[in-house]
Amino acid sequence: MNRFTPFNAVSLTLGFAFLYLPIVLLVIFSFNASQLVTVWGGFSTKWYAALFANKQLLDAARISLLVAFTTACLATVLGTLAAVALTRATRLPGRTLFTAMTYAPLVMPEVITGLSLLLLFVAVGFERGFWTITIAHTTFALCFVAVVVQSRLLSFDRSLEEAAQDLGAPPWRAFVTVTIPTILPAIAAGWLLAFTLSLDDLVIASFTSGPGSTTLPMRIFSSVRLGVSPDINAACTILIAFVTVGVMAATLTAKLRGSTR
Amino acid sequence: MDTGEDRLLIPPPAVALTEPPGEAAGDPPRRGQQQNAGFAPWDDPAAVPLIEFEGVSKSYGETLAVDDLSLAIYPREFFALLGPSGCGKTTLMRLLAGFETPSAGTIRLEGRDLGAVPPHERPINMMFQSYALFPHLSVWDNIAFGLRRDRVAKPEIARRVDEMLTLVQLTGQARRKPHQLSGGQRQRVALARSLAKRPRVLLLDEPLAALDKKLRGETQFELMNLQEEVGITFLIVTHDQEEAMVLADRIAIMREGRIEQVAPPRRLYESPASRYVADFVGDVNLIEGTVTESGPGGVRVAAEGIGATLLTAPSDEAATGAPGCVAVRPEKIAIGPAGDGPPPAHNALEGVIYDYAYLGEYTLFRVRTASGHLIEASRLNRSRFDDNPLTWDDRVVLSFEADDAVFLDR
Repeated sequence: MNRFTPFNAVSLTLGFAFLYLPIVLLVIFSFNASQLVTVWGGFSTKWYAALFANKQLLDAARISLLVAFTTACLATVLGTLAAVALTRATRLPGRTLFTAMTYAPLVMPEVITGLSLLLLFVAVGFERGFWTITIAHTTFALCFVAVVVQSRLLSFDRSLEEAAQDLGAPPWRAFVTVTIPTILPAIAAGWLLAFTLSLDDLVIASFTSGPGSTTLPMRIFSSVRLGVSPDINAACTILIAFVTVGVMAATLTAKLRGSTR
Repeated sequence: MDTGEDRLLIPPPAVALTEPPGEAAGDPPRRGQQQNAGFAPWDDPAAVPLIEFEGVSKSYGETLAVDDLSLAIYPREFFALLGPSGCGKTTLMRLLAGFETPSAGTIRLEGRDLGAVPPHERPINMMFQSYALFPHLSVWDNIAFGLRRDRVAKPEIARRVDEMLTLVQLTGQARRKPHQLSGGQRQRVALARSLAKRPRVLLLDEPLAALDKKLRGETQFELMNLQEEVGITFLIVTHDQEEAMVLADRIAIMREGRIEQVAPPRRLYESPASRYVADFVGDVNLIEGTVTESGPGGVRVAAEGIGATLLTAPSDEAATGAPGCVAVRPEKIAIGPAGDGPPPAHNALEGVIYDYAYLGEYTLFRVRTASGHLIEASRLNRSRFDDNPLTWDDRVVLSFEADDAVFLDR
């Protein structure tokens, strides 16, 4: 079964083509010298230069990165705590329900998440802007962190923590000196995942943003509606690079550390 | 690379039978000396126990893992908890380590109630079955972990860790991570880590279960020597009776949360307190019957089922007319061809050989009596040649001394 048959080759090619052809096209056209988006006019990096002169886009990118960073940090802390609580509280009544409730936002349509958060912010009179986006992103990103960390915690040998206590570490100390370092790859993967998810998000950000807090995907989306300009392709390419690096780093940190034991 | 795998953990004493030269007065006596001097604090009413369990119970919902258990363990003892899985032996150990709290009863260490003392404040260390080595720390840091928590001065930590590494012969592996070690080496790191703090008691949870058979045999003796060297009380949990017998001064046989019997290995084997113990430790023939006579001369049992009258060693538990059983080990039964000279005066059973197995050091015979019972008897193969071979369907007589049989009422 593990031989590389022509059938495998074809299905692999088709699958990847389906997934990545549009993205590859976008990346190629970001190096297009022509003003027209769909006509190849030779290789050029001028749109990247134009991009770095576009103050609006740069501002949006700065906000996006800041939101993503804050979100990743908050979501990692909250998601890890949730994962720990859900894994450890084996005798908690309704634990399965709580676990399901943590996972639900993963499959919840973003429109609903965005809308409900918007309603909440309006109801409590929270002025919309940087922090509302960050809170909204943290809300859904922490679920992903919880899932990643929880899967690592399930295979975590509790006797490690007991051994630490046995050797004189109070429970909190055992957690910090033994549990955290052991599940650190999963926590790091969770952080990177939260970061890229926040960087990607358009729908929820659109619902919860306010004046002066337009994120990069929002800016791109709004400028595309006025007509696709090649510097948007360049911006997207950079965004793709960020996300790819993030996801790959997340996968690798989880995998490398996993294989050493 | 020298893994140190095939060498003994602790070099055996160079001169075993005499006092090792230059041994300080405070050094622990060797096992041989302990036995000669009669190391048996459990028989000494003046001896002060190190650990006391008093009416300890532990229940998980409906199930009772430990059931009103009382036990005393003495300083410097190597004590084994032996029993099948689910008998509560691990729970008992975890109660002592502090990972579980008793539902009832008290646990005392040196007379101090451990009830409110959390695990990290108990002068008890544990070697886990999985070894539980910290994967992100080197061997050196693993061993230093407990000392650091105690805020021991740095030079002292370094000295103690190096001492431990020498003790378990892992000086060359100090900088390695646990996943770079072999199973035997990991076991030794776990041992060094749990000994580094010089606990009052060391708990060992199935310490040799993860090792292969050959290594296990060697490590048993290493562990025994080590215990004598460090002079710490060891409490081991195991399901392997050979392991318990090799290592322990006393063994507690556990069954369904209770202790069936606590005794040194020899007494446990030769004078079991119950059918369960007799059957759990080694092989045994149990012959049911009724006591017809009991006195200082022994117990006479009418074994109606098998159609014989049997005489056993004297027993306080035997009351005339009471039911019970005669327990006799296969190696205590002599086997010989039937009709060969006059039959023995007592404890003779006739039958035919139903099955036999040659096992190298001895041959095991299964003899079927006229009543249909199967009795096992073994014969040591002291000679390379079998002078009077017995085979299937041979008529034989089984006999045993009254003193070699035990009467059991439960």
